[in-house]
Amino acid sequence: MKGKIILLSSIVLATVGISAYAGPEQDRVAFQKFFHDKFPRTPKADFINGIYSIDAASREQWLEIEEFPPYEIAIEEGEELFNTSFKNGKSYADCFENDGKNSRKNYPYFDPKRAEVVTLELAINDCRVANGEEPLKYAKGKLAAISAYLSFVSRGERINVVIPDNAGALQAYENGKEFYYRKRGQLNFSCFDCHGAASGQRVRADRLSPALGHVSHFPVYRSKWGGMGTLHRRFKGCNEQVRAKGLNPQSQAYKELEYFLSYMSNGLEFNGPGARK
Amino acid sequence: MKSIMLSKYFASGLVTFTLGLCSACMAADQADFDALWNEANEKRKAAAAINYEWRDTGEFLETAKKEQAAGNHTVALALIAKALEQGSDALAQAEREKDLWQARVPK
Repeated sequence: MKGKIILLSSIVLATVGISAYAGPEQDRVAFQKFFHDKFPRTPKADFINGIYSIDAASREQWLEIEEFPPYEIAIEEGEELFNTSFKNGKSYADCFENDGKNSRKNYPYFDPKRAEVVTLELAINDCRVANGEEPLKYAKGKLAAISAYLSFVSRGERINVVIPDNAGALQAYENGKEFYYRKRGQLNFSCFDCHGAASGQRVRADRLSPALGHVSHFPVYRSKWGGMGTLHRRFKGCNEQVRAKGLNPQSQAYKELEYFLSYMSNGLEFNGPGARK
Repeated sequence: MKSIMLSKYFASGLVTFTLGLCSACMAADQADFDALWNEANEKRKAAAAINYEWRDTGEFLETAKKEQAAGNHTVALALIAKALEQGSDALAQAEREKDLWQARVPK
């Protein structure tokens, strides 16, 4: 009898355990609710503005910066590069439909044939390589400029990452999720420690931004960098701030992190490129 | 005269002995250094393989090599000790986080 009770209890617990996690969509709902509850005065759609959605003083400064946005030069450079033909006579327009307009919303996605996450920056370099050109460096420079242009002409489109019914896609999502919540580095912080649990709190003179909407405004012109940088450049910088060894932009781990983080912000608008401190 | 000759032989022998001893010491220092450096580097690589390497570990190891080459054996060993500790801590952190991360996921 005792054995039967233990067996029954195990089955019930296992069933509860399985049904308690319904997958990415359940994660997204809980993730967004966490930030909506933490910052109840911030309109839901405003999280795309990062720290400026929760810090009134910084927002005022940022709005002044936005009058003459420092990323404008990158948009112009990116547009010129986008419309410059490759040596074979083709151009980026042959890779991105509708001359690149609204293309930002198509990334990141999981490509089952390649069994990997494809980001906008990876697609830009794929386009170059397919047309006989050398790939660009991923963190800044020309690639960030092209990404800035494509983001600019996609403003207002909604983040809509789809996790297809594919074991590889779900694994990529789970890997990104695990990376996000795991503590790492000598200071023993996870991404979520700073940008979830402690978001809104001060680190020296600055407040920590909420993770919801983080991906919407990249690439960004960052005053600290004195130039443009991609989302993966920021990932690497964040990792090194907690004294973990930063990974290479477009490494598998960072692509999967972007996949997870973008899914968490589904429904919000793309408003990149942005300007940050 | 004979005592002067003896002294010269003695002095010469002493210098040879000392040099030999120093050379043996240096070889032992280098062997110690190499063994510890390799051990620390293996830990660093093991942590890196699971994306858990800490930021400064590699730099400690590179600086240790330079210090050793400059003859600063004690400084070099101290740097390796730091790298070893960081490698062990990083691996322990990765192991600890295997389950702990799930408690941070908003429910």
